[in-house]
Order: sequence, then C-alpha cells, then structure tokens
Amino acid sequence: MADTRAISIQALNKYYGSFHALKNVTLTVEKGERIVICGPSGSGKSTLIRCINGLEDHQSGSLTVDGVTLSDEAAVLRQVRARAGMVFQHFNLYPHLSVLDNCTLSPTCTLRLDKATARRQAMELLSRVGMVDHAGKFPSQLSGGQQQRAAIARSLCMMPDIMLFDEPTSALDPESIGEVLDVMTDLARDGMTMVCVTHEMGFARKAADRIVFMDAGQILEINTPEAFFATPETDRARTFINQVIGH
Amino acid sequence: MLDLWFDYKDLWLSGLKVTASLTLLAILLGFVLALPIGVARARNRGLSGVLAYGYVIFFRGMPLLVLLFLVYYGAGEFSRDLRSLGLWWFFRDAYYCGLLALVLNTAAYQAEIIRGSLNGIPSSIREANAALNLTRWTAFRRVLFPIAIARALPGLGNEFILLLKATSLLAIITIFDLMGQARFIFSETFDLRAYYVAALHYLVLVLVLEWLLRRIERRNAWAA
Ligand SMILES: Nc1ncnc2c1ncn2[C@@H]1O[C@H](COP(=O)(O)OP(=O)(O)OP(=O)(O)O)[C@@H](O)[C@H]1O
Ligand SMILES: [Mg+2]
Repeated sequence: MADTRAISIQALNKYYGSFHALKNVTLTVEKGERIVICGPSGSGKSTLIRCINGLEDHQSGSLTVDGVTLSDEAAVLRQVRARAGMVFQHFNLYPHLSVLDNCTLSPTCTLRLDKATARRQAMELLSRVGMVDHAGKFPSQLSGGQQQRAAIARSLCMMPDIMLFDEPTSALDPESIGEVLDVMTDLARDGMTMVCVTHEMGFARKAADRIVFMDAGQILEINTPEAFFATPETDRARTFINQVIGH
Repeated sequence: MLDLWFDYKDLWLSGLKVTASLTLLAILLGFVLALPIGVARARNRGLSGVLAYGYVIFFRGMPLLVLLFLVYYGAGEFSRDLRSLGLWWFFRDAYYCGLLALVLNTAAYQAEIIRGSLNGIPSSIREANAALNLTRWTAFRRVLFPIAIARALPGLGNEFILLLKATSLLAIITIFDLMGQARFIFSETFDLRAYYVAALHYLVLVLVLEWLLRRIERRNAWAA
C-alpha cells in the first residue's frame, strides 16, 4: 500500500526550556499538497516548520516525513533532510561561494555527484529561477530577491520531495517579493509538495490547497483558502485576516 | 647611515634572511598548531576543550623571553635525556630553540583569534549546513574554515606583525637575526646608528608583510 502522506505530525509538543512553543500540533500533508501556514508573530510557525526537518527537536508526539520518523539520531536526520529542503527568511547563502558553488557544494560533497553533472543540474535549476546570468556572482553582489531565488535553486539541487519555506519573502522589498513568489508559484504548479510559512495572502489564495492558522503554539484552523478567507471559524483568525489584508 | 649598511652589507642581508625565515616559519608552524587548538577552544567540550584551554592559559601567560630561556637553557639541563631520545640536534641549536618558543607562543594567540572568528560565524550558516546535509568534515573544510579564516585575517595579521618584531628577542640566545647583527656591528663600531639601520630593516619587513596581508584580504572581498 503506497503511503500518500508526505508529512504526518501527531500531537507534537515542543518546549524551549519551560516555554511551551508547540501544543499538541497535529497535521497531515499529502504528497503534492501545498500548505500555507500563517498566524501572528510568535505563534510558533517557524518552530513548527523547523521541527519538520529536525532543525529543532521536539519533546513529545511524532513526526514522520516520507515514511521516516524523526528522532535525534544523525542518520535519521540526514534521511529527513535529504527529503525535505528548506528555504530561510534570510536566505542563509554561503557568503564565500559564488551562486553556482552554493548550488553544487552539497550535491558534490553529500550526494557525490561528479562536478560536471552537479554544474549542469545547478545551471538548469538556476535558469528555472531566472538566475543563470548571476551564477558567477557572490551573494553580496545580489539583491535580496536574487539571493532568495538562488537559495531556492540551491535547495532544489538536493532533489528534495518536499520544500519547506520559512517566510521566504518577509525580508524583501515589494518588487523582489513578486520575483520570489513567481518562482514558488511555478514550483507549486509543478507538483512539488510545499509547506510555506508566509503572510502573502495573494500567494496563499492562488497556490495553497489548505491554509493552516496558528496562534500561541496551537493550530486553530485548517481550511481551504476560499473557506478560510470567506468564513474563518475563529475570532483570532478573523482578526488576523483583517490585519494582513487590511494593509 | 648608508655607509654603515654597505660596510656590513653581508651581515645585514644574512640577518634579514634569518629574521624573515624565522618569522615565516613561526607564522606557518604556529598556524598549523593553532588550528586544532582554536577549533577545540571553539567547541569547548570534553578533554580537548580542557587541554586547549590549558595550552592557551599557559603559553599566553608566559612572557616570550622566559619561554625562550626555558627552552634554550632548560634543554641543556636535560641534554643526556634529549641525546638518548635523539632530539639533541634540535635542542642544542639556538635557531631551532628560538623557533620552537616563537611557535608555542604565537600558536596560543592565533588559536584565540581562530576561536573568536569560529564562534562569530552566524548560526544561519550552521543551519544551512544542517539543512543541506553537509557532513561535519565537509561543513568545516568547505564552509566554516574558509569563513572563519577570512574573518580572522585582520586579527591574524596583527599577530603576525607582533611576531615579526618579537623575533628580535632571539638575538639574546646568540641568534644572528637582524637584531643579533646590529648588536655585533655595534660592538665593533660603537656606532649607535647600527640600531637605526636594524629598525629600518624591521620597518621594511613589516611593510612587506602588510602588503601581503592586504593582497590576501582583497581576495576575500565577499567577507565585507
Ligand atoms: N530558540 C528559542 N529559545 C526560546 N524561545 C524561542 C526560541 N525560538 C522561538 N522561541 C519562542 O517561541 C515562540 C514561537 O516562535 P516562532 O519563531 O516559532 O514564532 P513565529 O510564528 O515564527 O513568529 P514570526 O512570525 O515572528 O516569525 C515565540 O514566543 C518565541 O519567543
Ligand atoms: Mg518565524
């Protein structure tokens, strides 16, 4: 029986010291599904998405990614991270490497692709995000939007089944936001399983299959974009929607 | 002053060579020793962390001149043991003893500089390493090390220049570096200008070293 679940999170609890950051979070993401996670600042969105690829540990509950159940074992973490790529708010590119070298470092060192193959693949993915012309530049020579597109290409070079995005556009100016959202929409159309923390409600409407609304470490609502925006179930969500759409 | 230089040209040039070679070797060997110590300091865990901390405390706490005497004269005390260990050729040579003292001393300072720049690497870089599944070794060799060294260069450069000038202490244990030659020439001529000539040589060496460092730093323009 083929498992259609890409991510399965069951009663997940996460503490930072005594602070209860995730409270009994349960969420299932099907293969090919696009999920947008939103919610007010400090609600635990980053924490949740970082738990999914083991950048944060959790204290109870279970988390399964493509059939691999997370633990703190190095081998398990490697398997999970091989399946789930991550895009960060601040890009986290390597400052000392060109865009191309950023994209080929892990494929050559970790996936053991030969240099020529890794370069060819990187150039293909860079062309997909519109960054071929900048392949030889260092991150410091690029705009924010270009850096983020390079970071997305770098993550795709690891051939993940799932892409996790943590507020990929919130450090960007409006023009760059558009560039990055176009790339993400293109990925979504291509059938990539995506979990995106974002406040870009236009993108959520257009690309998301379901919207997850979080507040104070809990998931308050999971709904289709239409239902979420038209008839939010909770007051918290209603307030939140008015705030993000209101300006 | 030019006459004093030309009269003793061969001595000055040989002193210059000794100072330059001592400095260069001490920088390189010191760096090789400092790297694992600095890494252990940055990790700050287990036995290696304790040993590295002990090393830094000990050798940063000891004046170079004291260390020099301990290595050079101290070795004489153990000449029989050192002979039986086959190490006497090393310890009876003032040049090697001086070099060893310089290396032990500079390694402590360089290790602390490396520790600081490793610890200063933003956590976002380590997150990228984890998310991209780099092995610890690849992460160190291809990411953390090059970034740390680029960030450490200004501090290391400063240490290298201090080290260059500290080599002049070695004249005291009969090494004929620039300072050793200046002392000899002064004893022949009682002409104080000998020390001015030595000072000018040091100045030139410092300028050359600074030029080299700037060239290396320019290759790391991304670090800015
Ligand atoms: N490393 C940490 N140590 C302690 N507390 C933390 C840590 N990281 C996050 N927290 C706390 O956990 C809560 C959730 O943080 P998180 O970063 O997941 O929020 P978020 O929903 O991503 O917010 P934002 O929209 O501002 O990014 C916050 O109250 C935060 O203060
Ligand atoms: Mg966040």
